[in-house]
Amino acid sequence: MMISAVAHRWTTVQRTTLCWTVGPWHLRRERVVQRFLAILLILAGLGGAGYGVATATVLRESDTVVATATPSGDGTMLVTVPGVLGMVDESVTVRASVPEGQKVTLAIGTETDVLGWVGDDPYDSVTGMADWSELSVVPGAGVSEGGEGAEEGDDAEPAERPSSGPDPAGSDMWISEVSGETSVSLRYTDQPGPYVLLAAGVGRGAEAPTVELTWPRPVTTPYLWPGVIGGGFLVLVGLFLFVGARRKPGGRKSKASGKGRKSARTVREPLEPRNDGSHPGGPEESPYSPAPGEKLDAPFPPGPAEQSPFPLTDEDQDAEQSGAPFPPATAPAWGSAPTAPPYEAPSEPEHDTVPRPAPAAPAAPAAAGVWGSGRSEPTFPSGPTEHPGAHQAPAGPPAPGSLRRRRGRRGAPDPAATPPAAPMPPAPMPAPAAPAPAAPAPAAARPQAAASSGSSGTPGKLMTRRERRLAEQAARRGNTGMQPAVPQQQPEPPQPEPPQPGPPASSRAAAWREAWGIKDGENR
Amino acid sequence: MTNRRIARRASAAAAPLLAVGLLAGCAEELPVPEPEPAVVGAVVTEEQEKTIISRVAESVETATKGRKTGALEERMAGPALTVRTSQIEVARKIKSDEQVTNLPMSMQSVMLPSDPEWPRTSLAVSTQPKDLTAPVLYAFEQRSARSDYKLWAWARLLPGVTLPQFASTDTGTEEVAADDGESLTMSPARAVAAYADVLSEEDDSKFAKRIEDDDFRDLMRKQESAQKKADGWKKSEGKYSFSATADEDEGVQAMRTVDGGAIVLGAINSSQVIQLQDKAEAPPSDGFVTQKALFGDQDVTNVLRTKYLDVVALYVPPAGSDDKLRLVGFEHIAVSATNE
Repeated sequence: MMISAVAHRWTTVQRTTLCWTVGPWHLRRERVVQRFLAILLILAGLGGAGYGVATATVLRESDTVVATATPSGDGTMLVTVPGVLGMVDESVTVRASVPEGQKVTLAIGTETDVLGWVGDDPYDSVTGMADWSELSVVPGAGVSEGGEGAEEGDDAEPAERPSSGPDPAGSDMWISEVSGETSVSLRYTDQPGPYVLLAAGVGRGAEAPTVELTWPRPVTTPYLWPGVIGGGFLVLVGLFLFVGARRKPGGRKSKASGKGRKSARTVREPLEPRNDGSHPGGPEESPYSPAPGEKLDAPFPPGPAEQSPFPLTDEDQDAEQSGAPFPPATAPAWGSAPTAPPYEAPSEPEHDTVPRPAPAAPAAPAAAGVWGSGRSEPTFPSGPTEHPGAHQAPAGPPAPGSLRRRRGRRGAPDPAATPPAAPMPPAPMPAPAAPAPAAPAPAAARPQAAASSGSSGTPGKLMTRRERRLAEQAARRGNTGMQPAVPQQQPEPPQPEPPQPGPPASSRAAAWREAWGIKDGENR
Repeated sequence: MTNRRIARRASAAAAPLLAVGLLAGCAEELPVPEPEPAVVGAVVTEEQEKTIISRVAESVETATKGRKTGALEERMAGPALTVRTSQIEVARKIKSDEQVTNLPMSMQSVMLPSDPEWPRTSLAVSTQPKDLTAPVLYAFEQRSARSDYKLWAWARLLPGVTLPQFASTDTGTEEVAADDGESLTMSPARAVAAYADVLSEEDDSKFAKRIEDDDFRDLMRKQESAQKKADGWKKSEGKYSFSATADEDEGVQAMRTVDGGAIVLGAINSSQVIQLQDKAEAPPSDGFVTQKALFGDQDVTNVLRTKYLDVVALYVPPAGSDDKLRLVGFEHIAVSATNE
């Protein structure tokens, strides 16, 4: 332990100096720029997405275009020029209104028909849009047809034009018409041809009506999705940058400067949750923790026992204080950052036993030492809690030994312990025999033990040091990709086995054993 | 480093995207009226014509059934109005519609005007009635923009006659001015006058060789000869005279056919006078219900004058053609009968 800690510290020191030589200034500046860029991107992204959404909501244009034509006051009629009705959309709703009580008629016909009908009478011509809500109105040029005009005999009223408005209602020429009092409306769907609108105030004292054209308008939101997607993309890129900016320097500093503590703190958060979630570790522990035997023996209770040992970990704390605050712990949290250290470590751990592996292996010895002190088990279980999966795989070879020791004491654990251990074939055979009777209890107890150990184990802050170290190792191994293979095997095999040895299964177990011993083929 | 590079690329890509988005939102052009290119074609659509015809039919039927001559004016004009008014009066007197011409208003074809100016004319041919009587050729007129289309005249087609082809209803049919004598062998107005002359003078007419003989003239000849064979005709020194002149006040309606000719409808006032010796009496014949009804309770004298309003439908060949004018349809309806 001491050795490994020293070694570790030494390496970190080396790295620190290296990093410093690279130049903190440069790092800082780069970080600032990156952060600035990141924030800029995020803002731009939010802005873009917001704009996109706004175009589809707040800024969304009205579904209709409403334009009004106010007569100039000359004449009693108002005529649109061809194309005005279908200016915005094919279908248009025309509304004409005149002073209360007067009659108004709307008619739609071809331009020649309408102008022919209007004849020489003065009228207003609607020529288009002045803006989005106003139609442009000019006095109509009705003089041109004046020559032949005066279709006399019709109503003999040309002389009284100003005082009485002729009524276009009922003409055969209109393809659509409506008349009424005060206000009328007419829906029209544009048709091929120069169709125009004739709006006329009718009767004595009539005046040209005020006409309102309403078109539906297909409102598209072309910027909605591009905005949202593009904005989202920018935000993502920004976040990515931002995180990168924070993390990169942070990782270096942890090794490089006193900030290491800081990083360590930040690291804790991710770690603790892990501990809480130590349930995963719990179950695995349980097989080891020989919960079965322990429970029976009482002294073992992993949960409490583990806590008690923590004080012991003070030693570890010393180690921490001494220097090497396992920044690597960051590894589990951020994933990518730790890469550097872990890569070295993972490969070493089991085989080369360089600095990293040292802690892992040493853990066992340390635990052994602890045992000596009183309750060694706790330390051990703590190990598993941390990197249940990972640890066992690599530690497999050494661990079994320790386990066996324990098991040797308790006897019961064997069945559970053996399966995880590499030497599956030989162990199981002998173990089952003894454990079989005891097993039933453990089977039930395990979950409890696991739960208790999980919940109780987490509280220990002190534990974190060691945990961290172990977790780090686990993470590193995890990064090497070795972790996944082993842990999965472990949990599964042990579970199936316990049930078999169960109380009712005792007979089955015997049969099974027999089958194994005598006739393999039959059972299978 | 890679992060930075990515960031740069990202921002480089994002900038134009954002800019486009912001700019595009700004302005949308005001819509401008885009008038359809003026189409040369019928100024009345088939749809409109259907409406017009149904309105006319409804109006005429209502007035006829109600025997209200005053209501006819709504949708009738010209010779048609005159004839129908007379027929309704007859119907009132004889308390029967038997002498009222049935006007089938389901059309097998229509000829629509292409000239936007007023008056406008359209023609229509009814489907063959179930009683196998001849189809009816109608002429509708819209005298001015502010007036409605009115039935101007009708003429039952001669048996077996085939109307020349007209332009399609999409392009519309050209109206021919009453005095257009250049595109036709004879101007429409003159053609009607000429026909009236032939009808009246027969072979003595200078137009006799330019107009084909037809059922109408044959009918008139038969009437005359039949009258002259009447009992006591010679004894009472009967004189028979028939005269016909174009009704120039009513004018004519003419529409161009595909071959460049025209179908002309015109009104002719004709009168038949039977004059006996002073002491003789010439009462209206029981066989002529209309005439008798029109004659009413006038004192029977030695003179019986019956006035008719004839509507003739003529085919006038295009200028330069050697073809003769020919009658395609007519209507010969007594409108008055007097004792002097």
